[in-house]
Amino acid sequence: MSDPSQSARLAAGGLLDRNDVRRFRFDGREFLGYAGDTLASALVANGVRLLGRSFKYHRPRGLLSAGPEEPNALVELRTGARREPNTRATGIELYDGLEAASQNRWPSLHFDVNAVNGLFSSIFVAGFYYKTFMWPASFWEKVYEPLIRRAAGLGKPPLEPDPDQYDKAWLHCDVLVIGGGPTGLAAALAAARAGARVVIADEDFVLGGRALAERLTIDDKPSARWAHDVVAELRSMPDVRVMPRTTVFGAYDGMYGAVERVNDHVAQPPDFEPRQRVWRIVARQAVLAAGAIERPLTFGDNDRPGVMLAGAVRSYLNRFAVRPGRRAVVFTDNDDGWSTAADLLVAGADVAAVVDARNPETVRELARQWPGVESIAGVVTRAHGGHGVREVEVRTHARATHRIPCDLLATSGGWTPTLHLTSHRGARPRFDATRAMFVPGDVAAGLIVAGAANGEFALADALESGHRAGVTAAAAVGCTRAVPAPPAGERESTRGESLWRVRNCRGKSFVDFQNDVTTTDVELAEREGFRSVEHLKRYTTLGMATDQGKTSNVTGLALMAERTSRSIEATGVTAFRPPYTPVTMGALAGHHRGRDFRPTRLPPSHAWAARRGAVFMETGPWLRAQWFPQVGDQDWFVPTCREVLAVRTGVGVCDVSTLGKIDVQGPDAGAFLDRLYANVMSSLAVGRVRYGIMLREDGFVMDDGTAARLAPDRFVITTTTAHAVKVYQHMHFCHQVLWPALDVQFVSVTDQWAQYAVAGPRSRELLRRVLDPACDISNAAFPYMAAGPIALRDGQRGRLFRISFSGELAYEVAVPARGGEALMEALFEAGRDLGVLPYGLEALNVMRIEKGHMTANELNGQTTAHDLGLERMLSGKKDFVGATLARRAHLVDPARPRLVGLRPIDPRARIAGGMHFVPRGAERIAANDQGHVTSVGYSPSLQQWIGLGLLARGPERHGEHVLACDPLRGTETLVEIGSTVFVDPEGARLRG
Amino acid sequence: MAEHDLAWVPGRFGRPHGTPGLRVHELTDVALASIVARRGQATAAATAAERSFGCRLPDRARVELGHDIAFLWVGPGQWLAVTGLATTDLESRLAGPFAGVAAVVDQSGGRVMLELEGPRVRDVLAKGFSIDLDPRVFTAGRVAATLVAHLHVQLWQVDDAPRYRILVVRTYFASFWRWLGSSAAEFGGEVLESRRYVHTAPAAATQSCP
Repeated sequence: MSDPSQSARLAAGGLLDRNDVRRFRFDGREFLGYAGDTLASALVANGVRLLGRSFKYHRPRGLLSAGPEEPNALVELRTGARREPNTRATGIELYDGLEAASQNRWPSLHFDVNAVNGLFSSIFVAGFYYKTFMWPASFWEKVYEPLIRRAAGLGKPPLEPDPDQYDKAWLHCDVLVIGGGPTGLAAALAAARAGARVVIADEDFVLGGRALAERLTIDDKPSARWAHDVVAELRSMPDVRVMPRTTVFGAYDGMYGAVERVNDHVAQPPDFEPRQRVWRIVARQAVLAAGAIERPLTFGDNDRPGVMLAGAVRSYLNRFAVRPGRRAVVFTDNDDGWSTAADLLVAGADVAAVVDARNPETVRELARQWPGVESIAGVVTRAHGGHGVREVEVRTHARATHRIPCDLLATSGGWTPTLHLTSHRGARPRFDATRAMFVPGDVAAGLIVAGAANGEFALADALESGHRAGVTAAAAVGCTRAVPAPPAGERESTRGESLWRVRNCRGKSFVDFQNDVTTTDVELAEREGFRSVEHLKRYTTLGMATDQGKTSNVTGLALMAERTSRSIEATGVTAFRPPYTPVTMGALAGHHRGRDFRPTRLPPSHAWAARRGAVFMETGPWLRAQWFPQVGDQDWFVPTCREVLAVRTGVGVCDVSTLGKIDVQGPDAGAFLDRLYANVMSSLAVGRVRYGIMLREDGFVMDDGTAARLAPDRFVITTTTAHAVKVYQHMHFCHQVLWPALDVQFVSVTDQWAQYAVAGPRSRELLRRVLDPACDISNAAFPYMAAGPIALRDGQRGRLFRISFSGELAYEVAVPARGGEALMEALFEAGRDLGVLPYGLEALNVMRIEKGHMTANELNGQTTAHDLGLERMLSGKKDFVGATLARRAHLVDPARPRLVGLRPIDPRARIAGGMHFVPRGAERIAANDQGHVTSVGYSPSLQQWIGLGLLARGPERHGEHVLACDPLRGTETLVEIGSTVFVDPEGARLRG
Repeated sequence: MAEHDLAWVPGRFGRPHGTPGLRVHELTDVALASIVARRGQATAAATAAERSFGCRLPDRARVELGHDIAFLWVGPGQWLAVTGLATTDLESRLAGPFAGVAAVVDQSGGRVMLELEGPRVRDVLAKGFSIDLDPRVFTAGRVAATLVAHLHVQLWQVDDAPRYRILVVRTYFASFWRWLGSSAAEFGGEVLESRRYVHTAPAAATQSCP
């Protein structure tokens, strides 16, 4: 079945399923294509030549290529939340219902207002950003930048969240073959036959590369048939994974990055399937068979739609059975270009002339080989035609000029090996002057470059090279099974000369189509001193944006070499960095986005708290209850006060399992802790707990917590929630590096224990109701700072610590975490008549401020034991981490900001964390800054706001009135400095 | 009883038709304990294990199966003892045999154990595990302490089916479960009823291979 609308479709041929007609829309117009088409080939089939507008001058542009190097035909694919800007039409597999739109044009593709830029092109030269928008500086943000952003730029990303899923996975193999052209297929086949686990990946949806695009013969079969058969054989082998639609975008240490477009070829991924999947491929050996990219020729207005790479023309003719033009001129500087003329003739197009830039003798010789083709020894100087080529100007070597009408100009400037992946790990490509091309430099071990990527362009050479690479790679991993001879193909002529530019042309000669960089821009950069290849790139933008100069880098470099009379080798080459082609951020994130961006840690009572309607907050990875609202509560204030008062007058329960818990054992456990903590722990009696602080090596406080001695050779220590991981790492460092001779063993038990603070004057009463009656927790038997094993009434075993963060009579009760929820339920069941309430972080915070206890706000890494009033804890009887540096003169200077308590003079006034202290009456400037407020809370006990802060000479200034000011919000409050302990300063309650 | 806070609903998830690519159930009532050799006592600890439990402690990333207990390698001189939960807690059971040669710490409450199998189980795991699970590389009896979805887990291949067990830190289990669900969705998954952990003695383990 054929469709009349596809006017440029050939009657037969191509790798298409003509029974599978696919409807699609481009800029709102409906077209038909076939399964097997790309969006590009389907547009060619329908005679669409104008696909976009260029970046800077908004010039009309059409297809330059048929592959990943495409600089012009970038479109917005799909609509709404799935809209994907800057998608290469040459890489979009046509699906039914596809919608695409051209970009960078307004109001329409055919009439674009900004095309006027072309008329003022003298100001849009290289470096125009730096020159034009210099002054006045205040205009930059408000005028220039928005203007540039609207006029330049490419497509627009969607603003809605991406509705699709993306995936990431690991893949391991012996041999990774990158590229599925003749070289890659030969390599994969050889490696697989030798017995290796092989992965072969190709960005195209059909493997075969140029075997699909050319009329070649391999092993006596048409090359496309050969490719099909090899792929079928590879798929039948159990240890081979064939991955079409998969771009290997980066080479990293020990790993390759690849993106598989799992469902980009359908309108919408099927339920539960990802759109794309990023693979991290661990390959013991890799074969780079990425092929080569053809260079455009540089002449006047060489960017007209209808000027197309010769290889791309062959691909459209042979693989897609579409004719990009009815009457063609071929412009080449090498033998390969001539085969394009032959393919055009076979497809029924007229070939007006082959213009060959080489000497007349070579051209005459070739003309004899290609009878029936009109040939001209000369150059094309200019292409004419606004929205598509209508004729070309040709100048012969004898200086005669012709105008040749045509609607297609196929250009071939020779081929550049695709070396990107060889340089991702640092190796720079090397210039081979005799063959006038870059070839792989010192490629990392484990990577073999083969075929056209290695400059071996002739089919026979590529097949042999691929085969050899496959055998070598397999042998390197010990797979040496005998393999048959390499596939046989023809050895075409690859002779050519590099015509970097056509001189004396009118019009613009584009080097980089995507960035609108012309030969004059390169010349200007040279004149203005930007001669280094890195400067050339940044000054002219040559080689930037989505194509990263795939068709332009070498030509730009050659022009700079020519201008500076240096060799290309001496001019250098910019390094390639990953990714080879753009990779969507969603694919790199995979599962880890939104709430899965990072893991969330839930304490043992989380589900219980959620059922009670707790409001949660993130503290590091933890999700902790902040407060527990009751009916009628409008905000945090009422519930927080209620919870504080419950603890101060009755009993409350708080999940404190988030504290780091580490079990420390061994004959040297006490000695180990003595070295870690500033105070002595080895003297602690079994069954007792002690508060301790650890310093960093530089003498500042690292963390605080408790140590409980469970047995002569066993302690369990706690850390703050925030520093749990850091302290555990610190302990391992100290043991493994500093004191390996100590016989001490420690493991984290943070997850093992559900630990709840049971606090308040009635806490003992509540605990007695859940503990086994045999456990005596009377004040005499279990006094303040006691610790020991317990049993619960339900038979669970646990531990009890009589410690208090709230300042009340309090305990921390611990059971193995699987029983945590049951314990919580038991406590609330047993304490119903006691009015027991759960309390959250807000209440916990208020109560610890009321008692002057510290958290990460005060232990902020910049405070010393002296600053925090803990200087008496620095033991003078032993050495410990930080002991020496903690005694540095300026660390014990009383003028340092030191911990104080504070309350507003006006009891109704509010204070905020982060307020700065300045002396009363002094100017609110940084020079008068004497410290800051670290923590604040509303104390329901005192019925006013209170806080802790770090104030210069703070302990000497109790009773003084100081201004706390917030210059950001313009607020200030006079506060009285005093003790850090606001409630029960004698500590009678916690010993009761 | 489930040992995590998630609603554990047996049934299909993800792709609803066809054979589920992953089947997963929780193994409940697992007793776990960390064993850390005292300085220079790794060999003595291994010998102590052999004397009391019928197998040595593994000296590489493997599991060793004793009469009624399994020992997983965690790191040099470190192991995890795994058995069914009993009235006597595991720490007390191990304290005697390892007295003087290793520290023993109960971890029974700190982890959740899952068992995973199904025709696509390797494909599911490959979405998070960086290690090579190919049968030529990772076989029954191998264990790995590794990262998945930013979480530290222990993976243990039980048989050639292949059947895997994974120990996940309890407080992070919800995040792990979301990763597993999202990774298995395209192949279809099935959550099965939880089962009690039962130790499989070495001989029986071989027979249980399908």
